Amino acid sequence: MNKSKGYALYLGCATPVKALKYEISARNLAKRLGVELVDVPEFGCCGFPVKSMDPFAALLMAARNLALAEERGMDMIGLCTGCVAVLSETKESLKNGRLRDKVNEKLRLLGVKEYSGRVTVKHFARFLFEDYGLDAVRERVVAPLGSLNFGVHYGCHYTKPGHAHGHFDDPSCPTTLDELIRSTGAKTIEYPNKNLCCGLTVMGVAEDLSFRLASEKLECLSNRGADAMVVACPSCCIAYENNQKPVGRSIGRTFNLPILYFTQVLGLATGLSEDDMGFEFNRIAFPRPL
Amino acid sequence: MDSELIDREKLKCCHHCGKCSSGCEPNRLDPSFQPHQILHLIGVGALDELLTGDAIWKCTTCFTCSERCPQGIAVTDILWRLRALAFRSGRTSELLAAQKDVLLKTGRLYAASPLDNKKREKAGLPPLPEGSSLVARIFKVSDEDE
Amino acid sequence: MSDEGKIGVYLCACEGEIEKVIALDSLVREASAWPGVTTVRKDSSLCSERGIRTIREEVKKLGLDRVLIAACSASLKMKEFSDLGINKYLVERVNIREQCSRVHSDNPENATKKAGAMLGIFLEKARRSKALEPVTVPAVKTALVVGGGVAGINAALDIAGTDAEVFLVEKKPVLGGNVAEFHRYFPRMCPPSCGLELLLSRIESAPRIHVLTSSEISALSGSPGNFSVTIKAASTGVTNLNEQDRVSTVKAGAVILATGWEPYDPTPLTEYGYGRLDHVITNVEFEKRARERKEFLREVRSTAFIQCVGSRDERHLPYCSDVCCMVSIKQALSLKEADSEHDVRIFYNDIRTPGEYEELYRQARKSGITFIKGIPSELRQEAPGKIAVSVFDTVAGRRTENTVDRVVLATGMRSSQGNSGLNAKIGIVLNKNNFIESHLQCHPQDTQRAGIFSAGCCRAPMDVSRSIESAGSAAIKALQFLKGEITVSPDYPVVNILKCDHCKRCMEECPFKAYSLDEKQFPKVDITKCRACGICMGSCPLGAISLGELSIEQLSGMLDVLDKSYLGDDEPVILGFLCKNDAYRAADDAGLKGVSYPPNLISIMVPCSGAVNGMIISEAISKGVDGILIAGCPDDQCHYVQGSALAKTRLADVSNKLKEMYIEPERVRFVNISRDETEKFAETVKEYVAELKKLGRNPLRIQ
Repeated sequence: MNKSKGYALYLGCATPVKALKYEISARNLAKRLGVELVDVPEFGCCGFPVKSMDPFAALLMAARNLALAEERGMDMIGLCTGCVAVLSETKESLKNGRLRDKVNEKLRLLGVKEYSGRVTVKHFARFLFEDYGLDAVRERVVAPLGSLNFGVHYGCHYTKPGHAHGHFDDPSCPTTLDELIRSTGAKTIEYPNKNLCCGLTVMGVAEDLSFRLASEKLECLSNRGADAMVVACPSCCIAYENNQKPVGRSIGRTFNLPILYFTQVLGLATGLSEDDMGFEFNRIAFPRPL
Repeated sequence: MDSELIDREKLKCCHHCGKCSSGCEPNRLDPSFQPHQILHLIGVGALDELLTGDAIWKCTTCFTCSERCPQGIAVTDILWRLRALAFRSGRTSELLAAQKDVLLKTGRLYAASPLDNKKREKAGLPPLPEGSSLVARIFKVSDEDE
Repeated sequence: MSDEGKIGVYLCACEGEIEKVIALDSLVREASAWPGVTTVRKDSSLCSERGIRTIREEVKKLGLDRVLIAACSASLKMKEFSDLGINKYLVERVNIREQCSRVHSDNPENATKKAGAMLGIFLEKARRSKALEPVTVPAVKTALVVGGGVAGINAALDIAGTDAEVFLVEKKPVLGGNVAEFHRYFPRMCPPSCGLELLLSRIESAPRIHVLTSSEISALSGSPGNFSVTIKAASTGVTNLNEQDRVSTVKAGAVILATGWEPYDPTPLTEYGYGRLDHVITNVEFEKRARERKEFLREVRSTAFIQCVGSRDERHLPYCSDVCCMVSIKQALSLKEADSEHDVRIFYNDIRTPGEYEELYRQARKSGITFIKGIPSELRQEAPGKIAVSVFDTVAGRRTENTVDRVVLATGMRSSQGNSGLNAKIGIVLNKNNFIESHLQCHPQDTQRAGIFSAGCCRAPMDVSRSIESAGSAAIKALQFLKGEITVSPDYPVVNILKCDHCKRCMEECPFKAYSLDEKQFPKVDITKCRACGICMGSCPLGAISLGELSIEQLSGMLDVLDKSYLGDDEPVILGFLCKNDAYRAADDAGLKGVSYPPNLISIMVPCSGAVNGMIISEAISKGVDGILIAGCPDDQCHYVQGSALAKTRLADVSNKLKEMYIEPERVRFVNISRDETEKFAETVKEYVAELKKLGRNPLRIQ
């Protein structure tokens, strides 16, 4: 990825409003690791929710963000896996010249410079794994987390659709997030329903379904004694953290599983303070290891 | 019923091996939701039935089906297209209608209230615009000659 | 006009049919006056015994040196007109029935005029004909069979049953191929060792079969009847400290490729955990283990089979691997045979058990094997020794969870590495799935190289029974090259090196790679590889190549002699070049189908539309022909692979030339005509005549 001007930080809609601890820990981690994240206030919604309303409008929303980044000569780092999946897929679709021309025509009407296909989009965790490198992460570890055992939740959009993400990890058997977490010295759990979707996207229309999906993973990791579940997406976090109480109630169990973002875990290992990791926003307290 | 948004060529190749439904999480918990059945129904002209039903809203867009389909059918995309068709004709969930409202008014899926911005300020984060017509403009531009 | 000759012209009234439309008497009178014509006669039925006898007598008595038969299409009565006491290349057939009297019966006057014009040009062609004799090339009575699996072994035995020698080359240290390691054959459920043992002992006792194991082909050159094959043998002796490859050269008259298949590796389908999960094996592994140890079939109590793993899959093998359904049924039955309580479940999409194989399918169901129509999405390790298979049962309409001790992935067949090697080493053409390209319907055992045939799975996935059959058919075809000599019909092209400027287009465009360069860098045709399609003749920009029975000089002469206004001053004249396999025959059918077209077209039959030479087209236009119509097979059906496609692309060059001559490019046209597209042909001609009338007569026509 091109780092000359820094990376355009793509926050999306959920993180800045619903997942402050993610944004806080991500920004501070980036600083700690020497990764320059640049704000682009002109960015707008990636278009994910609009895919169910108007596919072309959704495409325009995503394309506009890509065009804005390209105009500024920056590649994009995203925090929400859904956003990154949509932006990456859009980038793939816009390799079709005819579609790209049509989209650029509309972008002009929106006052945005046309997009020519030169922006790379990656999720922050993927960026750390592939571009920053595990060795570089290990070098920054000051407090190895050897005593901790995490259950990593990839979510669906981190690795899929495979062709949009360049098949960088195997959706059936993903390992890159585990490796990232383990570079802190922590252990990760191999558990059976690792690929299970968090189900948040259907919460509005089929809450029961959503809760049942969430409960299965919460149960599994709780039963296996995970110190916390690690997530990489604000929607997954809502499903497992914000909804943890009602989900537990729906199956008659009280969960107490801390949900941490990978940025918080890496922050722990690289010596960030609790404030800097947004720990105040943890709904289930995560006791910092001694 | 216009259905030009669906890639019919690839869709015709589905011969209902069921691999999509076999790996579908919503299907596991709610057998009435069967992606391979949905594809078949489109093929036999039961599009209307699909657009008025609630099955198409149960897809969690996890992409497992699309990744593994031997015919390379983008099942998830088809589900999205079906939803968009339903939405276009006014058949939609309340949630989605509400989401469109928020997007049109604020340009965001989750609106940023003054309280949210106060929290952000406290945490040392840049503020978010509390209202924006961006999405409304995009919808308008997309509608023209679409 | 050239040297006159002593030509006999015979017009057939065809029992009155032709004479009803064409005034044969006037043609007789006309032709009698032409130079070189010794005798002209009409006859009620030339093809009758009496008719043939009369011609033969006249040939002898009058010392005729050319014979013109104006009658039905040359594709008919070939046997009758083949023995007239004169070299058959000196006999010219003029099609005044199918392409004249039958299609222009509404206007006998014009039909007669056209027949006269046809006689004129084919007479000129005859004048320039030469007597040609078949060429006999000595050939080696040895066959080379590449690959010692089921197909290769059977092919070798089939050939060795005659008096030919066979070299059987196998890259592994033992014969038997893939199935030698298998447990059972279907449908009879017998062990392969039984059949194979018999075959192998027959090979051993066959004096004319030479088996070379641990050997591979490294190069192949030469031509059918006289291939030169280099075989590299790997030294496998443990005592040899230096691994010396031993190289030998063998001469072979024919080659049969039987390089077989390889199992498709299901590792990329990571959802099935092959290599990651215990107790997930492939169908090939099942066979091998069942053969290695009897206990294997009883080691577990429950087994799930998943069909179509990697086959019929866009991302892996797009085709169906043919045997996997039967293999899984066979394996399931073996499990039941060992333990009737074994819980066997087959997860399928379709069950393909054609013909009598349906019996085995029925037997499988009766034995209590569970068939579930639904393909699982993934496999999970539920517990040590237990695999969870979650599948949507499409018939029951619900999801079912299955826990089994073992999962067998029914993986398919891919083309073997040997095949790609063949392509690289000896130029064998592979299809898009990397199997040997052949004309699957009509010539399944042919490759695109004369004298080289294919047998067994290297051509397509197939079971043992079909492999053996394909080996037999390849052997029969090969035998034609193993008689000690090869007779080549003299239709092959001849290169006039005085005209050649070494552009090599003939070499590049020949679909059968029959050309090579001689010591002086002139193109030389290997007549045993040649299929006389004439694409080389069509390719040469200098007209240096001519076919045995149709030369550039003949065509040139015909253009000179053609009466460009045989229908009068206002009617355009079109010269047609119709390919003999499809277009010409489609045109011949017109009369029988009651389809007619204007008499402005005179057609010349060419072996392939690719044989039409651009120089001849330009010459025709410059000599005043109003239009040229080239008709060939549909592109993907061209009997010579690329003739039609080439004819079309060459038209672009011709168009440019015409523009330079200030001639409308519309005066040359190409149309694809399939064998049964007679109506399309007639419509095309009608349309073309109308268009040419609008354009007006060719301005280069001498009035």
